[in-house]
Amino acid sequence: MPLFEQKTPLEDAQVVRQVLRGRQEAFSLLVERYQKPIFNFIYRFYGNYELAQELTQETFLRCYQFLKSYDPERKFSTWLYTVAKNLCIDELKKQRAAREVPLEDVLPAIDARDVEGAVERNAQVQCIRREEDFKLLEALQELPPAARTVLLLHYFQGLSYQEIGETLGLPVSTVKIRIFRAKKILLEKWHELGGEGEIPMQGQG
Amino acid sequence: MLFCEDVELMLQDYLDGYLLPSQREVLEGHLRGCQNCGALLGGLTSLNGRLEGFGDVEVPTGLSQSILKSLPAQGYSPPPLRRWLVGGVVPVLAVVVIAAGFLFTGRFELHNQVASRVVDLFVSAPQAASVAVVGDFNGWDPQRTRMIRSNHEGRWTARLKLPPGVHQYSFVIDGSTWVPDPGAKSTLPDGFGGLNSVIIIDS
Repeated sequence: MPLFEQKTPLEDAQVVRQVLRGRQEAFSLLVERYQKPIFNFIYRFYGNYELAQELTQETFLRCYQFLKSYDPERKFSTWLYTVAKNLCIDELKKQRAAREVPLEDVLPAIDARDVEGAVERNAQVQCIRREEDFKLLEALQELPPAARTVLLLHYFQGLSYQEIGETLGLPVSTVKIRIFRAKKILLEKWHELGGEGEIPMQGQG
Repeated sequence: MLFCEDVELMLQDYLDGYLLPSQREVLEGHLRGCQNCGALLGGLTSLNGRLEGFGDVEVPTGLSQSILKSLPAQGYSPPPLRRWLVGGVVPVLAVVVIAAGFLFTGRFELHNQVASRVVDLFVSAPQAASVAVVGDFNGWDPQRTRMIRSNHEGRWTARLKLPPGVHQYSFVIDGSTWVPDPGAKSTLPDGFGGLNSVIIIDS
């Protein structure tokens, strides 16, 4: 199994240097290292497997094209996530603008009339343990993109507040608030879709 | 008297364990009396557990190949070559890599006008009768770079001269068993279901 767990940012910068010196084959090291987390981020964003494949490819291509603008002082991973996130947001805007796109292509690939079948088919692919989690993902994918992004980056991709701040260009305090607010909205959405989650009433001081 | 709006701002820090004991006391005091905030905290706590419980999905097969194929055919153009002083060997601090792997002796030598770096590879294989290094620098030929068994309990070594770049390699034990370098920091799939070890030489 590839031994990429404890890599320092310097290693990635070293590989980037090689690519910029003409050794295109070195780029494959970065692809091998990051394709799974990037794919997972995009896949969880939409719940659409084919779209995730397309956008993952696009993410790495863009990174290659803009490799000279990568600042070795920052983590390569957060730079990759920034590109991926921007692609996801752009894609959403595109889909909303092109109203002729059928709703099924925008929403996650779940057939509401055949939830049991869908759960079975998707459980393997999505690594879902039970229907509750299925509903949670559905709720997640209905959140506004900013909320979706911070939750995915923190809870699914394991990025720290610091790293998320680097990815989104935000101070840590703002990241924390965003995550908190996103979770509140998620709780409500989840409840709306029939999932668990107590729904707090508006505060009365 | 703590208002619910203030409590909400503290809840995230509370969940992360960042509140001072005095702040925690005040918050817990509010929570005891306020059902709404208590419900919110309960919801958030169970949500945390759920969100952290999702596993990763596998990437589609062939994703990395299709990514690499989509890159422009021409790589980046390298910067102009730096010429080292003629008169050859420039001693530099040796860099020692902990754990079996390779040892940079730090000597740069002129080798067809490209500065190569001397690299010592070593591997522990006490049972082996022969060990060779194969890689993209010697045509993956086990005859070309045989390793020498040192006296030190089954340790085999080989000295390579490698130009700057990314080099894939592997060890071949007794002429037939291919083994990646356990000390290598990076690996790449070899296209046959196994792994090649990778060395990167900076210029």
